[in-house]
Amino acid sequence: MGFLKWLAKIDRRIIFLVLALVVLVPLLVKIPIPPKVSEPVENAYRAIDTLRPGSVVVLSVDYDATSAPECQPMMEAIAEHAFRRGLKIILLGHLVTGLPLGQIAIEEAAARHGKTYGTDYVNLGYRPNPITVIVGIGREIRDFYGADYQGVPVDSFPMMRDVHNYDDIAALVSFAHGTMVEIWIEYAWGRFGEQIIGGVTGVVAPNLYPYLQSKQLVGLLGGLKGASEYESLLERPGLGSKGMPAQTTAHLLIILFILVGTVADFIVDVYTRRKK
Amino acid sequence: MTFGTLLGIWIAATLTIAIFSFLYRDNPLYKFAEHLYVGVSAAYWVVTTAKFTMQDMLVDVFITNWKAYQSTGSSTAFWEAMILIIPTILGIMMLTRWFGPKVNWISRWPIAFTVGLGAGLGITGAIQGFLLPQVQATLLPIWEPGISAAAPISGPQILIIVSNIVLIVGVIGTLIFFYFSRPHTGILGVGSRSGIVFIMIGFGAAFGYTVMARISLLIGRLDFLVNTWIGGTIRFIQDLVR
Amino acid sequence: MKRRVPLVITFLAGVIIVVTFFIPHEPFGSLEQRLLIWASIIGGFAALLGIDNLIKHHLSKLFRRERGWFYSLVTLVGIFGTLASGIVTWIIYGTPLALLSGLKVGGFLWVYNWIIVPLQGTMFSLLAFFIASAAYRAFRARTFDALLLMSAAILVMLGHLSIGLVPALVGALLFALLLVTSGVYRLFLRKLAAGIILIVIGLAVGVLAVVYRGMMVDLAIQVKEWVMGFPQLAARRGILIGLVLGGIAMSVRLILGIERTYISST
Repeated sequence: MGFLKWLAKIDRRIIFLVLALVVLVPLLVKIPIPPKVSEPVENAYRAIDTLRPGSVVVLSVDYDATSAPECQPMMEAIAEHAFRRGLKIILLGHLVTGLPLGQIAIEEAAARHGKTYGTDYVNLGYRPNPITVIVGIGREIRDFYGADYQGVPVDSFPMMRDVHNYDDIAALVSFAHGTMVEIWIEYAWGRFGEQIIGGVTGVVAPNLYPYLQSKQLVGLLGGLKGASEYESLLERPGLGSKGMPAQTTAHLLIILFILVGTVADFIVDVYTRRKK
Repeated sequence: MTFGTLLGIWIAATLTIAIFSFLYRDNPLYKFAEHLYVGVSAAYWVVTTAKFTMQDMLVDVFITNWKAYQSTGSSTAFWEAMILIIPTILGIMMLTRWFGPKVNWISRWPIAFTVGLGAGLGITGAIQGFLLPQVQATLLPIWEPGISAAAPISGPQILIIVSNIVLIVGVIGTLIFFYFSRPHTGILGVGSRSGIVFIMIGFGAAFGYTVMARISLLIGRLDFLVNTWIGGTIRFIQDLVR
Repeated sequence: MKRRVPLVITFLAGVIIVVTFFIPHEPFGSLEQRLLIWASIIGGFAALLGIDNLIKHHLSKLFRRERGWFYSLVTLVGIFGTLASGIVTWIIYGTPLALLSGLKVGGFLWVYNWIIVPLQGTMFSLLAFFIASAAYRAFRARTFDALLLMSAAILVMLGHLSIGLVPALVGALLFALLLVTSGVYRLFLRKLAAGIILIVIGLAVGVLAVVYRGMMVDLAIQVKEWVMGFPQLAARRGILIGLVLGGIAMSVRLILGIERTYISST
């Protein structure tokens, strides 16, 4: 029982330290990841991959720094994929605290592929009150986004000339840490039949499985694992794949914690019952 | 790398460590970072909202239409400019909340407008975009067509049938557990018991995903400290030496 | 004026939106669009509300030299410093979010990159430590339901391991061990049937994991997707359907003026 009492009273700072080490060490070494891809990620990949070159996709920044380690790799991977396929990107966002993150990802991908602003991609910025904006785009995107994030009229961009509403947008990817994918589905899919893909944090992913099965959502990247799977399909390891070894060791540690905590609880329970 | 970036990285690293110091115990360094966070992010909101709303949706649209009116005399452009007075007034009414109980009731008008609009959108959106497709997707076949003595049922088919039954029973059970206020006895009891089983699996699965989410955030920050901060500083010094 | 007018406004706005949904033709279509734009603009004004309270609160703390006034000063410096940075950047580049401002010390995106992002990100990454601590302390498997919850959690986590065979195998064996100990615990409590079943399942999981270790990685992902795509989905859909029905009822009550807490809260 002495050992058990020690286990029960263990300072949580020791647990913190163990976790920090278990995450830190794998970050320092390079471990190759064998590509294994789950169905929702593969569907997302295929949806982007089969769009006609020149089609317009919307990438919506619905995350910010609180979830950037998860959503940023997804944003980077899909921006890369879109430019590879010759798609045109409209960047916008419903979380203004995250908008620059999307902007940085797009600019980097554009620089790699030699894409020019206004012809291949634009950044329309942020507008308040997401539901009204999403419904409003169904009629005319200019009614809300008359100008890009720098105040330049959207009509001056060649790629925007024929873009008016969801009919002109081939697919939409929402990178989200809240309920934004659900809102996009409810209004952009519900009213206008827009094809939607979700790139979301681990906390949000379970909420979206009902929409996958009902085919309201075309594909889903859930958490860092989803991001790393997409990267492996692109054959371009990025932040997602880089984090997965640490993710794996941390997961094993958490499972071990659960096991130790549970077994200790069993022993304590049996012991106290015997005493009575 | 510029000096400005290096300075930024060091500030960011200091703030990161300041927040992490909370894990040891609450301390002045953490409090400093926390209070800075509140102030800086509030101001960020104000600046960006002012730009994306006041400038982009009001001022610029007004100027564009006004110029069009002046050059062409178009009455549409005139009214497009003038009608912006309505949302401006509604927006300013919203700000009466700044000035205490004597006038802040005025803010109820724009709030009422937003609430009504949201409710209207919510009703139709929920039915069309959620309820109908979700219920329809639950009405699954629990028998695969084409199965006969000549073409006996296969392993994958059994899995599909079982899975579909699981899904249907789970949805109904969960609904019974949460939304029937009658005592859960008899058939309701069976339904609600199966509901609990599914809810437990649901919560467990959500926990599993949450672990991944939380660990990812830690990976992000530790990666910043190792690669951007320490690695970046080393690269900066190497560049200097060269 | 104070109560009736807002109720009328809510009613009209709600009804117009519902009507235009069914009759999207002119003039209803453009009327709806107009209202949507206005709501978005009002949302922008509403976003400005919070900062006023924040400034007042911290100014008064500072002037009264209350405990912790120094931290109020920090908040105020944060607010006004960022405002200044934003406005200057806005004037110079025509937008506060100009990428170039990220390279200049004190530029708006420089503040964003090196102050907002690390603070926000680190604040939330603390949760990783708390979830580890919770896994150690909070999980109990004395009842069937608790064991089910834990098993679902572990099966999902196994699907997220990704560096090949060894972690997958270790994870599966830990899970098997957990099932076996849960069985043994039940034997101690003289729940023989449950105990034996759990031990058998646990041993089977362990043996199968070792024998079919070549398929472990694929299988872990498939099992996870099945748990997520069927039982988890079912529970989630049940909960969501209930929530949405409640939401629709609430919307109707709001439009009809039955629910009016939103106008009494000011």
